[in-house]
Amino acid sequence: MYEIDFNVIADTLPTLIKGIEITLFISLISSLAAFLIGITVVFLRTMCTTPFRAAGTAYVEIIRNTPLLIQIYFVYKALPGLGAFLSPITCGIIALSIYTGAYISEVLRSGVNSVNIEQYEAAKGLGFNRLQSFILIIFPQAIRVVIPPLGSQFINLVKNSSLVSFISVSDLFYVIYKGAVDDFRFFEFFLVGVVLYMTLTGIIALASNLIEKYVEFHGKEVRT
Amino acid sequence: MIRLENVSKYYKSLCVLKDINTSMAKGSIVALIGPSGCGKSTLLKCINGLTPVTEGKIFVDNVEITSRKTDLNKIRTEVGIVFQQFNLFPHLTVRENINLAPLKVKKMNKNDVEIQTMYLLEKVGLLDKIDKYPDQLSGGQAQRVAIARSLAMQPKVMMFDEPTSALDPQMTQEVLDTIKSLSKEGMTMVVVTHEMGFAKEIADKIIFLSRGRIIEEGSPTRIFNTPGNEITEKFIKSILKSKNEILHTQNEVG
Repeated sequence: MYEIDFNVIADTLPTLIKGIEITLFISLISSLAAFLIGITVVFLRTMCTTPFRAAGTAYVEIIRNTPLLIQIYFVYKALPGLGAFLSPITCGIIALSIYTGAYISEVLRSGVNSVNIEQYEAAKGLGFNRLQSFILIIFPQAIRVVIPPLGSQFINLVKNSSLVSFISVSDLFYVIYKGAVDDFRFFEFFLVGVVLYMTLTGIIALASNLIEKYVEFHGKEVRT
Repeated sequence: MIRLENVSKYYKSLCVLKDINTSMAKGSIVALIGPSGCGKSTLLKCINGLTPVTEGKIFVDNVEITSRKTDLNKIRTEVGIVFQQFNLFPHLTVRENINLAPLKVKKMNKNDVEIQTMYLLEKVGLLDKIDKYPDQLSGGQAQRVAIARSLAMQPKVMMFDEPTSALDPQMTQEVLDTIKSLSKEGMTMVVVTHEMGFAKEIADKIIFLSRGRIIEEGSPTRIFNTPGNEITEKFIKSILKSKNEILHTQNEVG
């Protein structure tokens, strides 16, 4: 009979904390970068001329139709061949940002498409150029309606970041896996993994819900 | 102020405007009337470059806006447009709606913009709504805010695209009064409207459009009293008749 013993966790606590830090670091930087990529791509695809639209569409289709693991390896193994030597963490961040950016741009695009066409006319009629219309008028309205799916994308990003362990980044998953294998304590370590990942993603889910309520309150106040 | 030379507009093979030739003098008020789908709104959108023309030339203040070299964004700041559906920005307050374009497009000083916004809201009688969101306004109020928002760019010409068609009679009156007060200040205006009484009262010139062509243009008295064309006559009669019917039923109910 297998005896559950959580003391093994306590012994590896310092490495676990280090793993959490790395996962957090990768997730935070990638989230920001992916969000910026998403916004840029949706601007290209909805407000610009055909060549830019086509480029945006090509990016989205290539990225979301290939496995993330291949993209991570591509950045890690193929780029050095082209003369770019980057640390594994940097490679992980680049791949995750590019991957999640494609999904975020799709989510944002559905938001942009939901904005009434007359808003564009009104903006144009007042003399705003394309970039100003997008930043000041279209985007703030678009993002309000896509906060729940946007939150899911950030949650996915945190979970997907576990794949960087394949290119020897000692993130949370790597630490857990190594601990489990070294001590043959699969149950304890993976249970801790589940709890820790859920804590990280739970924070995002909570934040997403709060932001959703907040912008709703400001957009649609009760008539007085 | 505005001159159109042989303006035509096609959507693929559908002809929306055909050989429009007309001019609008500075300080004058022109009313565009005609049946639905006759191209009135398209004509307005062509004048401030929201819709490109297929053929012909449009001059605003002696600048050819149909030329490729013209900076359309600049023209649009000089020709304000007010839409049927108001199109206020729902995520911004009334104050922000009016401030935004002067601040970002004209790069005006923030204090000047604030003062101007208060002045304009006072003028349309909505200073107390300055920190409300568009959702919290009635249709008439929203349209008056939209007028203030357009005026904030200090345009040379104001265009109204059926400004009262989405409003009930009482709100229609408050919006018409606002437009009337502007007309007294000598603003050049182009108004697309179905309010014949209003057109008759404020317009210096009436242009009657049908199927994308100008059928007739002239002073309100001439167009309404002695229309020179049977299409015009029919249209005016039918509008006045439906108006009378509404009044009649209202009286009966009352």
